Parts: sequence; C-alpha cells; structure tokens
Amino acid sequence: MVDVVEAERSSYARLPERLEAGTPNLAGAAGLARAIEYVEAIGLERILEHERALVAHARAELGAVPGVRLIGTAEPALGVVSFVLDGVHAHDVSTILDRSGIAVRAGHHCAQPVMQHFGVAATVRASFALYNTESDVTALVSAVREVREVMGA
Amino acid sequence: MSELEQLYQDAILDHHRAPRNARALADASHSAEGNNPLCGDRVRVTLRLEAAPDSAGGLESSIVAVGCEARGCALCRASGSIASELLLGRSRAASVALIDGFLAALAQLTAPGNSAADALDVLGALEPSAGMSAEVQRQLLPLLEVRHFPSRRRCSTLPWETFRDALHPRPEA
Repeated sequence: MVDVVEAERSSYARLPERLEAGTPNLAGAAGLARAIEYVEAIGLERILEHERALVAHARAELGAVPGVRLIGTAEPALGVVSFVLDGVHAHDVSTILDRSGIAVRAGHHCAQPVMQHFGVAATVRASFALYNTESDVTALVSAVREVREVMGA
Repeated sequence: MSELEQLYQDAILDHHRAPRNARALADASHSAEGNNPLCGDRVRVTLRLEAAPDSAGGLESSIVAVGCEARGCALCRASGSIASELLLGRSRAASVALIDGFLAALAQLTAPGNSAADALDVLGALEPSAGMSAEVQRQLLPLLEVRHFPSRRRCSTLPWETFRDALHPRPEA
C-alpha cells in the first residue's frame, strides 16, 4: 500500500497495490484455486446428481421411520434433509446421533420464520456432499431408529 | 453405562416425561423468563414467597408455591422439574444458595483439567454454603452428567438461572 512513510507525510504505491494493505491472503488464494480445480475435475453436474440421489434415498428411508416427519419436501431437493422426531426434541436427537458418530445440525438454523411456518421449534438437519456415501444414509436412518430407545420413548 | 446413557438416565427421562410443577401460578409474587436463542429452549418460572417468623425471631421469606414451565429439550425440562422440587419450601436465601451451589458445581466439573473430578466430592465441598443434604446431592447428580456434553450445558443451567432471576432480579442494564 505504501512507498515511504514518515512522521508527517507518506507516499503511496501505484494502483492497484495502493488499495491493498498488509499481506494478502496468499494461502487462501492458492487454496481456492486448487479447490476449484478439484471440483471441476469431478464435475459439478456429477456432484449434483450424487447429492440428489443421497437426498432422495435419505428422504425415502427417513420418511419410513415411525415418528419422523420430514420438514420441507419440495422439489428439487438440494443437499439437505430436515426432520422432526415425534416426542423427541431436535437437540436430544442430535446429541444421541453425535454419539453414534453422526454429525447433524439441530435448532432453528437461523430460519425462525420457516420454523414458525411449519409449526416446529427446531428441526434436525442432515446435509450431504460429494464425500458422503449411501452407507452414511444407512447409518443415519439406523441411528434415528434407535433414538427413541435411548429416550425410553 | 455410557456417558450418553448417564445423560439420559431414568431420573432425567422421568422428569422430562412428567415434569413436576409444570404450570404457571395464578398468584405469583415472583416470576422470570429465560430463553436460549441458540436452540429455542424457553423457561418461565413463577413463585409465591411468603414471610414467616424464623428461628431468630425475625421474618424469613420462603417459597410456598412454585411453577416451572420449560419448553424445549429433555435436559431443560428435566432440569426445571428437579429445580422446582428442590426449591419448594426453601427460604429465599437458602434457594439462592442452592442455585449458586449447583451452578458452581457444574462450573468446577467443566473447568479445564477437571474431567476426572468426582461430582459427589465437588458437591460435598460446596455443601456447607449451599445447604445441600446428601439427598439433595443425590438428586443433583444426574443433572451434572451434562458436564461431558459442552453444547448441552446451557440446556441444564437455563432453568436454574431463571429461578435465580426470579428470586434476585438483575438490575436493568
């Protein structure tokens, strides 16, 4: 940004360096470029298809678990499946799933008006990405089935 | 028992399924609301305190009726129910002491380096100031299992903090 800095005056670099203070996020820039190459090598369409298949599978299997109500079932579905489990608060579900090695998000997801629309206080949300597999869906569904046992419900 | 089983042990599930004093008092002298915006847990407590002569010839204010409505997860509901049972009949001073004792116990058990500390030992050390009999300590133990679940601690402390607010309202900031 600067050229020479003195107590009473400073001189500045030419544009664009003049507008860039400090050390740029060089590692971030290099990492971003590599990440874009990685994603493009796999192919965005292929990733989308992979996620859609997982979501469809998860919706079908979770929807068949007694007491599960899927929240938000519009199409097309992208990457996430939200649900509530009858008689068990979302946070209790997520703690129990966590102990089975499954990470989900529970709460209002910074979307309180949506929660109000569906008449729920909170939901459990599983999200799927290119690194998830069918066995992750199976593990999720199986763990959700066991939640009510843990809660004695 | 696994830590998960201890968190959701029978004592907790019982209070979750059938919370005691789960109502709003019609003639409350004290009330407070507590809220955890991160998860939607919400607690509303109502109390009726009445003064009666104490052993020293003065007047002591005691909780003669209590209501605790906790909306949210099982830990919050169970904690509110247990707190309401333990506070009913206590003097205001003894109630505040018990609340502070419980919160201090959890704080100690979750402090860095204390993961192996024994909960009963910690409660026992706090007992003289907190007025916790052995029976009270026994009833608090299940609530202290939340020490192994950092993201759930607030679920357990919210009802106690709300009771404290009702008994000693904080000045408006």
